[in-house]
Amino acid sequence: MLKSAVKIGLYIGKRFRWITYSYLIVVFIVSFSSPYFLMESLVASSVQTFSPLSPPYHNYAVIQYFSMAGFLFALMVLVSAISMANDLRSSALFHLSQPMSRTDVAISWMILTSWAPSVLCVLSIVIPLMCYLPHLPSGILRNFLLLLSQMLVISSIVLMASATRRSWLVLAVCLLLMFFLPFLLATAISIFAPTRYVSDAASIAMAVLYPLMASTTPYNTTLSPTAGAQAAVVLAAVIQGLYLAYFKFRFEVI
Amino acid sequence: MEAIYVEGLTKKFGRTYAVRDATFYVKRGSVTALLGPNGAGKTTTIKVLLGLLRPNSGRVRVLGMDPWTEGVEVRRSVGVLHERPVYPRGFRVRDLLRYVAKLRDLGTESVDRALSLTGLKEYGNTKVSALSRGYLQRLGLAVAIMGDPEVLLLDEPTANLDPAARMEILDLISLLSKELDVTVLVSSHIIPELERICDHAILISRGRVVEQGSLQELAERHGGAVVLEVKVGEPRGLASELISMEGVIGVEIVDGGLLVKLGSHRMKDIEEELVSRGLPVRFRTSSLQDIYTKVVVNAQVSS
Repeated sequence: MLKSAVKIGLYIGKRFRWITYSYLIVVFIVSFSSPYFLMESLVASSVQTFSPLSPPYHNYAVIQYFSMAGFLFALMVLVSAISMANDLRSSALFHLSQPMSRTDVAISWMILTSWAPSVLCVLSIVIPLMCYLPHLPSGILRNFLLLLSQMLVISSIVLMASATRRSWLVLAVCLLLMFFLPFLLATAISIFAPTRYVSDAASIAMAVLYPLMASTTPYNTTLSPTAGAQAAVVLAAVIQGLYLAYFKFRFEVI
Repeated sequence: MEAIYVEGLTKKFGRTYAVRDATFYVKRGSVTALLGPNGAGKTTTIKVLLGLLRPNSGRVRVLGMDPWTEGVEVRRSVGVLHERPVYPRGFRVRDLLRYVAKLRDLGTESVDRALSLTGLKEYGNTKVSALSRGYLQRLGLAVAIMGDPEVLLLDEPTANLDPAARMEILDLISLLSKELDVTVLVSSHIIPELERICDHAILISRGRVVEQGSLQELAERHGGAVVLEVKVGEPRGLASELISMEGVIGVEIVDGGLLVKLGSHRMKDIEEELVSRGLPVRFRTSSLQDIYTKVVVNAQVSS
């Protein structure tokens, strides 16, 4: 177990140094943009009499901030996932010719593509924000959890796509999940609102795949964002379990 | 005792059979050639032996372990040089070997040993991407011998090398097999060069094992001539004695001994005679190419 952990650490640290650097750059950007959004929020609060928005404009700024973090998260996942697909086609031969198990390689990539981007992104928002606002409102804390579950489920699906070793598929899945699908689902919810069946299916998908986004939509969702987030965590766990099982029992180095 | 034992191995990619019902073994301490034309299933076989590919059916044992389910243990005792080795980018030679040493739980002394055994000591600080093909193969061998493996799997170690580099690599393999006392399975489709280093051969064609055995057995079975390598301090006297013996076709004095060409019918007697005098002997066949042509080409024609 310890030997496996050492190998996973070596694999991640040595082989993928540049990915780690890209994470650090993203964390740096996200962390240092916090004051900007907080200042924006404070300015907005001070001039709220002129603002067309209602008093909780503060939350709006945070949501905006979350969107930027989400975009950076998408970039991190995309970079790692394409690296993974390329690596499984090429230098996996080198690593799996050493006394390293397929599961070690799978866990390394799971950390790089799913856990690290999700947790780093959320922490890079939470830590600087708490420096300015030690007592975060519970609504914002809830949003962090929704964001984390959203990132975990999306990165897990991308991870599964990377296991196919096809970079184009990874890119297509990333673009679909991170840019197009949210809009397609929102459109489906609004267009098919009279047809309950389609609208309900789209809103459930929205709540499970994008719990944070579902919490900001003006529609009454069939599944609450919190329940959606719980389902997202379960779905992410199932996908990652299947991914590990695939590596343990089926993955071959061709 | 076999280092590698394969029974009824079948490996398919989609509907295409890469290896079909292959049964063979590799004796401990031997240098065995896995011979076959391109696409015969040599690389697939080596990947199955290393646990990189899952067999569709059959029983595979490397040092008594199943490579698919006990891959980590198998790879700890097996070193491999792939046909097209891929190395992680951005490494220098010494750093790459240090990385491998860490993956294999070895100390840094193993890095220096691998560098000196493969003649890469002066290239320790060279970037892997700057190495020539010949030196990349040396690096591959250095990676393969890290941690004193019991078995070396070498997949086309001389592919794409110029003749001088090929000879260098073959000499290095021969040296390593003696120095490290390992079992070597080396695949190639270039027969004459393998005759120099191997003592057993497995002939494979279209995924099927069509012939196998020691070079002596193969020569006996297919009527080929055998060359006996004899190490002797004073070769001239023995040469004149041997040339008069029945069954000896020719004798050549080489550095450190003799090469005795024998007809297949008397080889056992002559071998016993030499062994009884305490002389170290090793069989080579001068007609492995003929045997290969006869067996593999016939197999291809008949199928």
